[in-house]
Amino acid sequence: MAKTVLTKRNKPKEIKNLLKHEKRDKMLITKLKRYHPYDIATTWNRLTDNDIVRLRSFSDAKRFARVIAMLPPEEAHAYLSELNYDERVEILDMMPTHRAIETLRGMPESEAFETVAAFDGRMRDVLRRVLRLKRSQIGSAMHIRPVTVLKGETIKTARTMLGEAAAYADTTELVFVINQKRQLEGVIPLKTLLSAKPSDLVETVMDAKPQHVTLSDDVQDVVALMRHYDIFATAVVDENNKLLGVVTVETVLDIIHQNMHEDYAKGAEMPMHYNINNPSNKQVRVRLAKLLMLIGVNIALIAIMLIFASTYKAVLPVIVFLPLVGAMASHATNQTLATTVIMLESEAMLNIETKRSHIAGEVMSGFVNGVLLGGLTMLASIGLHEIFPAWQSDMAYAWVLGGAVFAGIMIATLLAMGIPLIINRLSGDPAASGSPVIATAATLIAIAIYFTLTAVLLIPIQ
Amino acid sequence: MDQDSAIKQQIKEAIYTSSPKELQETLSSYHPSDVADVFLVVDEERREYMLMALNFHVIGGVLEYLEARVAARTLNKIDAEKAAHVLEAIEPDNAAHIVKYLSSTQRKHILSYVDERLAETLQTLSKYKRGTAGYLMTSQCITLSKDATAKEALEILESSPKQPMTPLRLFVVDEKRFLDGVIDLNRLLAAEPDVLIDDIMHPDAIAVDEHDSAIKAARTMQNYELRLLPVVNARHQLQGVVTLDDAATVLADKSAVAYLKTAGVAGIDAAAGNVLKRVVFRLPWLLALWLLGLFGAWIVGRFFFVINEAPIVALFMPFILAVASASGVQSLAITASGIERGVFTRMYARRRHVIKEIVIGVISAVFAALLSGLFVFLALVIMGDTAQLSDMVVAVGIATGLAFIVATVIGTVIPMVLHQLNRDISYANKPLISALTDLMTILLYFSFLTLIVV
Repeated sequence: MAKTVLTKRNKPKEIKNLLKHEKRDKMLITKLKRYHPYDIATTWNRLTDNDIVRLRSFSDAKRFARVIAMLPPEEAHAYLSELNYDERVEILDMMPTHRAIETLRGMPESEAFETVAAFDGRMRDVLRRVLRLKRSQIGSAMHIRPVTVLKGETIKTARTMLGEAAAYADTTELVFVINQKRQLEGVIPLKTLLSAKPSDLVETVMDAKPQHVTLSDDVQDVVALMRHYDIFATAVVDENNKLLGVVTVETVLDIIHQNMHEDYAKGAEMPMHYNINNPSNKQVRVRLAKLLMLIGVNIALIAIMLIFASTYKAVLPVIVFLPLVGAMASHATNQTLATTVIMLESEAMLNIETKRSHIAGEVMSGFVNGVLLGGLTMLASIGLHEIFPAWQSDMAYAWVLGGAVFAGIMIATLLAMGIPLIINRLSGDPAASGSPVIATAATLIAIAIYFTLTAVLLIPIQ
Repeated sequence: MDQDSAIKQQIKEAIYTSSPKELQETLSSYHPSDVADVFLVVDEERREYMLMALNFHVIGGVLEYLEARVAARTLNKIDAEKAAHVLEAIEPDNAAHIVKYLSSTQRKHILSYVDERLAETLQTLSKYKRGTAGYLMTSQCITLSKDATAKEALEILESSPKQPMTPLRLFVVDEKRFLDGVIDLNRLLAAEPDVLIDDIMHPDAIAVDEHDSAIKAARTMQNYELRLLPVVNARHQLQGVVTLDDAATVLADKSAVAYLKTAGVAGIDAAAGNVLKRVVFRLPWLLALWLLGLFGAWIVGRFFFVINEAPIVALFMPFILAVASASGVQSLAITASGIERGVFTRMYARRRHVIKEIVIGVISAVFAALLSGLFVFLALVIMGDTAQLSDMVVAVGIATGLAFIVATVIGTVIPMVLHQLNRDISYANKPLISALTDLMTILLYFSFLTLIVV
């Protein structure tokens, strides 16, 4: 019973060829069905306009919508913006709703609202509310087509509702019991629904105190909650307890994925929703702003050099090692900052014991690394002094250099651990403490220590 | 978070003050995840008290939220018969992870009390290596034959005594457990009662091999938006199912490791382990960077005559180095995240990106050059050291500009080349890029000074 599923296939090539060469319409329809929307989406940017027209007319509308849903938001937007509002709505309406929201959010604001206006009924109202939310609010990531059943109905009705809703609902694992005002009364997990007696009323089997979150709750808090309690899906309500949507484990996965890119961007002082496909001039503007800010911060390095000008002018050879001292502090900053951010983001840090042990562990490892590298630097200072002009094998020189490397690593460790902890305490985002700024601070202090040691130990023996 | 600590405080109080019977009653009303958190922080004597007082359901719940190694150690403290019941109360995949950490005699002893079929399952599951799809999967899933009707399928679903957490997909197998297809519950619920499963199932189920990596399984689930992913052996027989929550954990860990690697930290234990591990995971990179730094010092040394002649040049050195490496790190971040997202699968996309980055680098370089020229001017005027004013302004300005361009190239090209060679792009981490940028910047800066100032 040989199956080909696991063998490596070049699906993009197959799809491309299929659209190009398969002239029999019926065959094309059948063959296209064999590919998952994801496979077609990964082929998208190889397709010509003509291919896409064929793809659209020979796939059923729902599958085509899922293909668009799986494109990167910028490409989905590029495609949709060529269609008229009715066509757009037809496609957006058939997407899984959280993807539709993501796509709408990829559009310029006015265009998004105009598109939403073409929807009808509840979808339009909910989408309008969602578009006004910030990205950091859970409402902006939820699914908005939960399966609902009115209080007072029977399990049998609920099952029928589920069966009818199954084709378009985002998730079927929870059925929400609501009242006439659409307020959340309870939840029936799929498991319960399937095993309950058909004649029972929904309120007799439902969980009357269902887990729920509010539209404006912070995305990261909801993710932490769901992971902590292993929740697969939870209701999203507004301030009047009105059911608006549902957050599922898929949402959590998406957010984890986003977090990674955001942490990365923040660590490099990059704008958050940086779009790599934007034209160069737009990219320059966004990035230049950040770089100019960094240049501004780094003026401090000129200032510190001004302050110590007389010191290094008295012992010029110390300048040779200036980059080394600064760089070691900045590298140690990067490392410690990363471990601290990861610790803060993992839920283990919620309790004070782990927090303390992280602090102790970091300080100790900073100390050990500092001693090791400081010691190595001293050895290099004595053993390799001949390759550095005017440098001397004198112990005082070794102490100054080794001491500065050690102190730089120690300071970097303390700053890169302390600042995120403080920012986190002030309930900010730990990853926001941009590493370039902390690295500059650590470099600056390391340089100051280096020159102070120079003034104390080297100037007298000159 | 306040509410969170209040809950834990209540649990703690119950552990210290309640009688065994009360404790069992109180703790069974809390979420096992919270009880597990408290279990970890109370002293040894209280833990034993808990293990004695609580029934196997509650203990099982707690063990599911502990690390498998810790859970195994805890299980050892319970007598074998109760331990067996505890294992039966746990999801098979988690139970198997715990069994893996028991010594072979303990394992035999405890498993002899476990229900025979489950014991066999646990034995099999616990043989998978960590980090494989087999290790990640659970054996709990609902299977049916393709000859069943939709109505029968729903009946099977309703009557399954051990239902998985999310029965959203059913797996169609033949009598030898060859995977024939899958059927999503959505489809089943919408189907006519007497239609055959064979007619509505999805025959080309996306599946992974039991020995594939856990990451591959998780990525597959994410890409294809699957809640449950079948795991098969080489003969395409169904072995188990990976659930999305477990996949999410794998991906979260993976992204944490990737994040750490971008900062030159070799593994996740560097954030949570003991001091030795923290040091070991950082030291290799620090040493390599230190050597690069020493090499940089050597280069500065070659230009010592410049410093001797005009000590003022040192004034701007740290500034230029810092600014240039910031630019390199920015390019690195953008390139690496593009690679991660699979934007550069094609040659022309890569070429276009490199060209674009260089264009951006050049434009930013012009601004940076003008700005740093301005700072030099101001700094020198403030110092009253105007003897080499114009020379220094020009030298520092041009060097900063060029360093910017070089940094952009380094930050873009190195991850691209690693990607092209199919290597892990995290070798091009932030510290490495900034160290390489430093070297190039030093060279450029002093070359210009030699030309202009001396």
